[in-house]
Amino acid sequence: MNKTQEQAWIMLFLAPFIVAISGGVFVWLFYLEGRLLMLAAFAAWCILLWILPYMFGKIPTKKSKILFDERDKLIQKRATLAGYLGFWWYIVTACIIPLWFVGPTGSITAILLPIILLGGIIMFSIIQNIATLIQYGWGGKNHE
Amino acid sequence: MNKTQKVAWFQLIVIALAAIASVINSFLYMHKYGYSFTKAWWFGTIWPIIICVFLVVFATTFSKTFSKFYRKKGEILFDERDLLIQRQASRFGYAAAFVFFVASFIITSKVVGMDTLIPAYWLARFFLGGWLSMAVAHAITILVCYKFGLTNGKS
Repeated sequence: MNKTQEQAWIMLFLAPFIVAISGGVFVWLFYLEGRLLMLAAFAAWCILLWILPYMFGKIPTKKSKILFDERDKLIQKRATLAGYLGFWWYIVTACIIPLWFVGPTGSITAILLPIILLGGIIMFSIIQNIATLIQYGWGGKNHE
Repeated sequence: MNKTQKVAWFQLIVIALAAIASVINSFLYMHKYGYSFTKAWWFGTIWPIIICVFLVVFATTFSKTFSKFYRKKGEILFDERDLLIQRQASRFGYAAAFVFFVASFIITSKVVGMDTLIPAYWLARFFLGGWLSMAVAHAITILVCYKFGLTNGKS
């Protein structure tokens, strides 16, 4: 199993919890401490998510010298496209269903928007990771 | 200039014309009939957007159907390079829609407040906005990848 597959397996189980918990914490911070602290926490979280992969990438591994080739790049691109497609259809459904139930003249609470967004990001992450694993044959063929 | 480029140019022009028509319409509703900004924007944009969606979808479907049935013998309309460009354009298009949804959902919930009631038809606006940003990013990526048709589709 190569590095991308390991990451996909880990993220498949961890990403929904990470997104849901961090989203909940941001909403909680917004209600208790106000907008400024919530934005600061969000910025810190984004910087951490941006830096962490680079930090793990610097750790030397003895498994193989080539960690990422053209095939891995193609798989990653296809998985990202699958993730975007999943996100798109989720958002379309999430926009149409409330509109269908309350009608065009009805109203919805604004808190529904971040909830829809969190669901969309979780959906994107799950589909992207499943697409990565499917393209590698779920790791059973030792990525060959 | 190949068919994909022509469709991309057509889509961009239609979207730009719809944007101009929306601005003019909204302006007329505000100054001639005395509508509020939100109401004028809603009434002013709805018809240009519907016509724009119809034309953009029609152009894509018509181009695909036309090229399938009226192809000259031995003519290659779509090769591996075109497929790569199409995939890249799709990725950029979906990424643009992703960014639009994230930005619009966060900004709206921040501006109006979390507990405020918003009209349900705003969801349709978000959906249309996401679709339009996807169409624009898709068309621009195709034109950039083909270098705006200046090289006649050759690198």
